[in-house]
Amino acid sequence: MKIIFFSLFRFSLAGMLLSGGLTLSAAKRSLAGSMPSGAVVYVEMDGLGGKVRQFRKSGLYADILKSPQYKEFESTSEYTKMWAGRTMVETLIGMDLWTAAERLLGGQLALGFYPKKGQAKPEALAILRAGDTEALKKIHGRLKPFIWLADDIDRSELPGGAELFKLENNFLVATKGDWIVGSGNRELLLRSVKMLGGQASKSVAQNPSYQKMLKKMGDRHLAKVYVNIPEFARQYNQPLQMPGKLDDGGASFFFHGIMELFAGSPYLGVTVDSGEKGFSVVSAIEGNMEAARKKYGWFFSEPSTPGTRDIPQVPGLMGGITIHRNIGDWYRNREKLLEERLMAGFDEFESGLGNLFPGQDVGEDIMPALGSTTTFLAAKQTFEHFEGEPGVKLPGFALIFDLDKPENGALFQLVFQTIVTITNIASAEEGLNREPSVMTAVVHKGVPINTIQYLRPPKGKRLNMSYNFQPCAATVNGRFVFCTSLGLCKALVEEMAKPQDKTRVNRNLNFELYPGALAGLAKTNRNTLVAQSIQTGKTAKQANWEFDTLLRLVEGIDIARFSTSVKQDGFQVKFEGKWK
Amino acid sequence: MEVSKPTGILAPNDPGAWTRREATHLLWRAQFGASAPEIGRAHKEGLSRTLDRLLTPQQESGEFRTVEPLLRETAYDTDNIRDLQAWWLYRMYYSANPHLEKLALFWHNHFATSNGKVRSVPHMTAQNDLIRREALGSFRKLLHGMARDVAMLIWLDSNANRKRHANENFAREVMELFSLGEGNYTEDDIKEAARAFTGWHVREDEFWFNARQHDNGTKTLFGKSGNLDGGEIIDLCLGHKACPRFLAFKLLRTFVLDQPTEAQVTALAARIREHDFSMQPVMRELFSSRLFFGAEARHAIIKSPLELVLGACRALEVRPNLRVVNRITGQLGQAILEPPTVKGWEGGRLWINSASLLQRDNFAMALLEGKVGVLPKLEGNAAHYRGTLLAREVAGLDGIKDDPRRVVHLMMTLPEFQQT
Repeated sequence: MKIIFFSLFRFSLAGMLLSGGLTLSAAKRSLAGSMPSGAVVYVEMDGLGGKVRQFRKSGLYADILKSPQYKEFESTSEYTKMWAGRTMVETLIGMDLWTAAERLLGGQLALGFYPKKGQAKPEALAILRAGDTEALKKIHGRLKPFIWLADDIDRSELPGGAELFKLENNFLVATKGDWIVGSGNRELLLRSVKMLGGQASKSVAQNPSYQKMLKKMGDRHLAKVYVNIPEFARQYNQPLQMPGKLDDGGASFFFHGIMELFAGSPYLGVTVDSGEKGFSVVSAIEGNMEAARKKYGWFFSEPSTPGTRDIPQVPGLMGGITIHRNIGDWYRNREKLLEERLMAGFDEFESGLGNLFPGQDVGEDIMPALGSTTTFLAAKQTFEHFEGEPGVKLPGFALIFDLDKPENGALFQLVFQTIVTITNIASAEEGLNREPSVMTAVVHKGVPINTIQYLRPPKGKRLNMSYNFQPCAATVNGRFVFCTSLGLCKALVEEMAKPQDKTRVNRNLNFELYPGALAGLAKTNRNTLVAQSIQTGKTAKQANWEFDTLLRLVEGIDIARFSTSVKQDGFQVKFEGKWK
Repeated sequence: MEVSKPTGILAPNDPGAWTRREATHLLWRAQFGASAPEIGRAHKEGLSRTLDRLLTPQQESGEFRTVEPLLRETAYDTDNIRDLQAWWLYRMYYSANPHLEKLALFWHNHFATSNGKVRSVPHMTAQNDLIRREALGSFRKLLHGMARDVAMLIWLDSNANRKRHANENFAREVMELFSLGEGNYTEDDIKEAARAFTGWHVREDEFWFNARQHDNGTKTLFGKSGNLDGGEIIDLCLGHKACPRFLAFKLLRTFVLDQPTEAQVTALAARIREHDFSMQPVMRELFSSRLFFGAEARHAIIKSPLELVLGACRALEVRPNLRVVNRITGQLGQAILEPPTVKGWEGGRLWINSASLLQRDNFAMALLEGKVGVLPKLEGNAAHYRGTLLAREVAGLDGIKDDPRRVVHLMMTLPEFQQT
């Protein structure tokens, strides 16, 4: 039960991540009306031919052809065989494979998966409606003599004029006009052929949950995936139920609320879109949000509000994550949410943390002191605290959390000072080659920032990596900031003083990545990254090529965002990006 | 000065007795294993030309000249000993001067210094450079250099060696581990030597002679008295009859056979003295000798983890993941630049115990599963690998008709594979 639940859950996430980079073309007739009902998973792609053309003209494809790995492959006998095979096929069909793919995939391609009784592996049905009927006719015409000659292909004609071919392993292919259908199951194939021929029959398109998904997510997408969750569970005799308690604290913190919603949703929908400006992959599930919020109020933000805060847009921002979670409530409910065996770990955690908060109870005083939004971000480090630079440059990091009451800032400042002092002594004891420091404070825009000052500011271009971390802490507008860079802390003080945009969309979790800034950091540390790649067994040429290619890919993206939103009637996960 | 020719067991081996097996024997001992093409080349060139190549500086490849400094600089940048270990492993595996690296490892074990205490990539690198500079040069210069090497001075607490409270660590190791060996000095000798090294300190990451902390009184060592300083102590040790014997024993144990006899030690010690501690001619005579190619020297050394891992990679022409190699050799007990004690790795039979033998077999499996690096397609002919992996014939191997991977795995789990 748990297995099937998690596999569906993973499928939804993986689907979203793997499908990026495709482009949307105008949707034509959907093939859902020709896909027999009963499919537990339905996938439809529209206009892939354009994407094939775009990929062929892209810098990425050119880079692949120039790569050392490809050059090496070119000198192998496998390549020669592949090239010979390709030439034969192209001669046979009368056009090169790129053109064939462009012209055939310019229409729609649909896949349906049907449960097979008593077997884990489902039946599949594929329908292709060619974008260019003439191309399909041409290929069909040129292949006909060979099909007639082949001993292991049975040809027959179906009522309505479609040709049916029985290939090896009883795989069936039917074609007529601009479509081709293929399946290992004759009944499914014939039902589909009838519908393609205009006869009415029950199809995926008539399924109420599919219609709900279309209503919510729209029909016009480069790709869409529909999973009939209850049917899936029923067919495989695996009633979908939320596990009573989770055995992983991290999974509970990040997914507990969605898991239950997912289990009750009639469908899982995923759509993929891409255009000249960017791409987006959206996944949605439906459910009773009011009930879900009652049970998991610490997880779900109120759909009519903006939810979690925005990530402060500091200079040189590389990325960050901000999440709506009432940590205090989650912590208090841990015995209900998590398996008993995990509680010993929490006790240990409380004892350890309790040493830093004398006289306070972690569960009753410390956790509830945290508000509902926690933010973690990385931005360019300025190294203004010493006269040199570390050999390996890391970004500045910041952890920001809302305070339940602003006066609790003093509690965390005290802990900050304790930790910094312990670290200072421990690094000297351990011989970590780090100059001793003293606690100090600077005031920026009226906000005191607690930080450290080296008694002897380190000099040189190859300082120890630990010098990337200059601890700073400040309380700004009812939020506590812990940071590893004074420059970043000052920027945060300025940024967090600005009022939040109250009209922004609801986000329960928001992860943003700014690849341009990240690429800048990678370039700064280029030698180290290439060297570490060589250490794993790559040649210098390979390692440099991989670095450059990855950099070019990353630099082509302006911003990438992964976010979740609470809607009135469900939950949405979105992965989107903007091209430069 | 005219240098005599070696005689007796160190006389040159019969040049006619140079087959692929002799070439394999030489390459496994002088470097970290050998591939079939390397063995073929050595066999074709003959012993003399092969030794010329192994013992004189060879031009490094363009790739090596690009990568080696990059890996070295990275270790400086990260200040992480793992990166420096990867740099040295790269040198061991890819350098056109593999014997220099093998000998550098020998000296690293001789002057065993661990980053565990030194905690400085630049200091460990500087010591490694010194070792490599003199590995085939003069042991005399190497020993003098070590006495002023910052990593060594930190390792042996030289800053605590003060005229009123002499710290004997360095003086003891100079005699016990670096030049004479136990039984060839007295406790008084150590006390006198320690006084001579007082004030040999480290300041601002460099060697510093702290004149205020140096004992300028009269010291007596091996019958010589006067205001001796550290350099003179080292010269007195080098002049001691035990010094070449001590070195000879270690060289024989590392490169020739596990249990050298008194006569063998005496013979090699005489050659070391004859060449005034110049290592290049000593190694040439050793690798040319009847002793080296004699029956008792064959199959007579248990492979160290580095010989085992790098040697197997070289034999199968794997492009290794140096991080994985570093992890495995560390697990097998030989983390370079981090020897366990000031005595280094004792080696020999101590390399093998019930746990490490299992780990060695696990390494063989990991290598053949491609987890240690990129494994090329194995040749169908098992005999192709028998010559590079096994130091002696094993009956019945040729008759096995199976997947080459399984046959090679079988070879790598034989006791014969553990020896060279």
